[in-house]
Amino acid sequence: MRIGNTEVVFHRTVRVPDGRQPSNLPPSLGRMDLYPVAKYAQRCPENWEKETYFLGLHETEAMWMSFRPLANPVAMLVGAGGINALTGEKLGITLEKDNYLVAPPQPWLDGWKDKDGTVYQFVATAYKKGQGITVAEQLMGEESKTGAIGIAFFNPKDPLKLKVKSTPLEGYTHSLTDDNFKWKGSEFDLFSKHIVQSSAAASRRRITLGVERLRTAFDEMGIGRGGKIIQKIYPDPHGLDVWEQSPWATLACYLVNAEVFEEITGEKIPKPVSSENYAGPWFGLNDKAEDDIAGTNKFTGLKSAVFPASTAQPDVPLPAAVASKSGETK
Amino acid sequence: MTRSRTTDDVSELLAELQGDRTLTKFAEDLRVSKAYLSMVMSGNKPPSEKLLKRAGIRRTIKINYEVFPGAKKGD
Repeated sequence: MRIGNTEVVFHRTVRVPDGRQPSNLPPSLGRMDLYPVAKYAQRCPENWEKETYFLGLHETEAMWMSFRPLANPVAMLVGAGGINALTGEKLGITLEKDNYLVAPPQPWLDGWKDKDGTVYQFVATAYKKGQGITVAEQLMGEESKTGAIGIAFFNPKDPLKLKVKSTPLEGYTHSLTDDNFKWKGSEFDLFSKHIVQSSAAASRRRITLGVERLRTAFDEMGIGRGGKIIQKIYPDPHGLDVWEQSPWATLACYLVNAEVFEEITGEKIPKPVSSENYAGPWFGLNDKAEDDIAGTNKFTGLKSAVFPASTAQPDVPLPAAVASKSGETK
Repeated sequence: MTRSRTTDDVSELLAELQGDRTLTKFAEDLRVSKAYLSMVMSGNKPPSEKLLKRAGIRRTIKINYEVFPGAKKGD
């Protein structure tokens, strides 16, 4: 989805194990399309504002986000359920040191920021009005009013003065945890010959809906805490002062489970995949020399949303290999 | 997405404001370069706050306070 001059994509992905050892970056198993509430207003809850969006995912399904500015660098505040994904504080619309991402160089965000170059994977779980185990509900309790994802976008005041910092080189490995990456180059290009269509687009099908009805009760989803992934959040290479004070745009995207999603849109979504059922590559960035923002301990002791999803699901077909984390030829 | 003015919206507004003026004249009136204005109007560059101010476009963002609870009302 293009917002201003930035393309933001939500990706279905492999759920990583919730163990002590952090995993490499999981691939994209297909885009999660965002659906405008305005278009489906008749079947959406009345309290959802018309300018917002929604997407569907399964319980314990993992996801990540990619950011691609089409012109100038962009700064973004990112969160879910009203919690900033980098700080664990309430998600606001004011940039402060280390509470935001800058793209480039940041290409992706896979989870809630921990310390020491890792994040806790974004994993969907039921939102229960303050009683559930979404990260926001665990941190805010009943003060949490939604599980929705929020992103605020900030433009630079003077784009011409910015010296763009590139994203580190991308690489892949066939191991969940080792760091024997083949960096994007000759070997990577060889691998990219095995590109196939994402499973998500292929498995989606439209069904005929029955009588249209207005939903009044709703099972909203939120984002919980999954397993650890190796991912740095690069500090702003330009500094706070270069950004406009107010966001250029904000994105609010509600999350619904697969059943509700099908009721609203008539479309099915592919089943989630855990690391046990995935035989494809894992990804990383050649960024050992890059800094990482401080992060927070706020997510560390929270209940995991992964259990019991890490058990194998033999009925789920193995996803096909992808060439790069985003599944695109580069 | 809660936003009152996207890049596309601004492009349309600027096109309305331009009226019969040539792009050169319109850029002169807004005190920006023709190349920059052309980029903005084609949606390839975001308009700066300065340009919006000069064009008299007031940009207001509708904030969803449930999604952004840390935003102060009136932000």
